[in-house]
Amino acid sequence: MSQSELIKTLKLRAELLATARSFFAQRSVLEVETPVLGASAVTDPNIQSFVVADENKPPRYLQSSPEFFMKRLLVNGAPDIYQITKAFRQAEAGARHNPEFTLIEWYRRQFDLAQISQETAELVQQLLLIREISLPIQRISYRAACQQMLGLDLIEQSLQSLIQLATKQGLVAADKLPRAALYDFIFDQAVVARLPQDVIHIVEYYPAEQASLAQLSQTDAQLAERFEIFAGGFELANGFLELRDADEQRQRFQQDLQIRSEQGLPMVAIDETFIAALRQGLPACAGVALGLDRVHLIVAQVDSLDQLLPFSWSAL
Amino acid sequence: MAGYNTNEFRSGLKIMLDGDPYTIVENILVKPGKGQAFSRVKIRNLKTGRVVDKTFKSGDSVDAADVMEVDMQYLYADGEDWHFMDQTTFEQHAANKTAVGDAALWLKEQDICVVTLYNGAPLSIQPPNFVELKIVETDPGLKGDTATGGIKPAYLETGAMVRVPLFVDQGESIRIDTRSGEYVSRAKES
Repeated sequence: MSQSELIKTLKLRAELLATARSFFAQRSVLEVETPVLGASAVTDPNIQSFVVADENKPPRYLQSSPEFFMKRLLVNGAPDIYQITKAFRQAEAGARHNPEFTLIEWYRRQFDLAQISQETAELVQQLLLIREISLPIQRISYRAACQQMLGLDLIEQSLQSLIQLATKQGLVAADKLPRAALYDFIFDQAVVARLPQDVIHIVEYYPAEQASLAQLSQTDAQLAERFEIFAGGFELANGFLELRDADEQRQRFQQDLQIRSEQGLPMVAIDETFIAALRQGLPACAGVALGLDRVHLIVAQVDSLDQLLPFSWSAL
Repeated sequence: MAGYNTNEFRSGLKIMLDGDPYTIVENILVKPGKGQAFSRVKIRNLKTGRVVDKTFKSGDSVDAADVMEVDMQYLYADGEDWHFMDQTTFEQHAANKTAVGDAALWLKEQDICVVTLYNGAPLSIQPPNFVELKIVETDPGLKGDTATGGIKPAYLETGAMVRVPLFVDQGESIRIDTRSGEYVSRAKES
C-alpha cells in the first residue's frame, strides 16, 4: 500500500466509525465494551474460536462475536446498546474474510424484525453516503427471493431435490450435507449472486434450520425470525428477533455439539453463564451484527480486504 | 493415495475428481456469517482442457492427482507417437496423438516443451511460447512490399498454416506465438 493509499484507507475508516457512532448517538443507543477474551467459545459448528493459553489456568477464547456478553448486559438491565469491536474466527481468510474483523453489533429492546432490519439498512445507507454512494433499500422474504431467482421455494423442496439442485450447481459430495448447509450453498450460489448489487437488500424469514439464535416465527414454524442484509453482491449483516427461551437455547447448543462430535470438530463447553442469564430473563429484543470491513469494501470500491487493511492477515 | 484438505487448496494444485486429473485455477472461500463454509474453485480438466466451476465443503478432502510438469526435449515423431526426453534423467517418453493434440503443429525437433505426466505417462504437451519454423509453401513475395499490410497463407514444415505478411518468402523461417498461432516476425538469421 502506498502512502497516499494508506492515508486514504485510514481516513475513510475513521469516517465510517464516526458516522456509525453519531447514528447511534442520535437514536440514544449506548456504546458499550465487553470482553474480547472470554471463558467460553460458541458451540456453532461453523465457527472455530481461537484458544488462548493463560499460564496454568483454563484457556480463554477470543470472542467470535460479542453477542453473549451483550445479552448478559441486557439481562442485567442495560438499555439499548451497541458496540464496535474486533471479533475473531479461525481459518476464515480470503478476499472478503479476515480472521480478525470488526463488527458493529447492537440490541434494541421491543424492536421486531422489521424495525431492526430497517434500522440496519438505514445505517448501511448512511455509511455508503460518506462517498456519495446512494443505494435504495428493498425488502424481500427468503422465500420470495428464491422464487424470484430460482423459480422455486427452497423450503418446500425435499432433501433429495436440494441435493440434486446443489449438485447441478457444482457442489461436490452434496449428498453428505444436511439441509442447512445445502441452503447455504444454493442460496449463495443461485440467489445472492444474482441479487442486483446496487440495492441494499433486506432478506428476511430464513428457514427454521438456520434459526441460529433467532426465535422461530409464531405464524409459520418453517421460518425463523432472522434477516440478512446484502449489498454489492455480498452479505453485510445478520440479525435476529432474539431467542429468549433458555431451554430451547440449550437444546440448540446441544445439537451443535452433536454435529461437532460427528464431524470431528474441536469440542467446547456450553456457556452456562449465558444460559443462566437467559433463565433470569432476557428482555424482548432484536439484535444484529454488521461487518464493518465489508461496508468499507463497498465504500472504498475495492474487491479485496488486502487493498483496505493496513496490515493484511497474510502479511502480518 | 495422498490427499489434500480444502484448506490446502491453492492455484496449481493437482487433484482427482470423478476419475480425471484437474489443476486448480482459482480458489475462493465462501462463508456466510452463520453457516457452512465452502471452497469455490475453478478447475481445469488436464485431459480435456475444459475449465469448470466446482464447490467443496470446507474441511473435505480430495485425492491428489499424480501429475507432474517436466521440461523435455522433443526428439522425433515416428508416425504414431511423438518422442520426448527428460532433460535431467534422459528418460524417454512417447506421447500419443491425444496427448499431443494441436501442439503437433508447433513441434520442432530439439525444442524444449513442457510435458505433463499423469501416472508417469504423457497427458499433454505444451510447446514453447515462441517457435521458429520454415515456410515450405506460400505465394511469391512482393519485393519491397512492407507497407501495404496485406496477408497471405503460408504452410510450415510441421504442416501448420499461418497468415503472414506479403513480403515473407517461401524457404524463410518465421517466428510464431504458439498460444495464438500468429506470425510474430521473420526469424533472426543465426
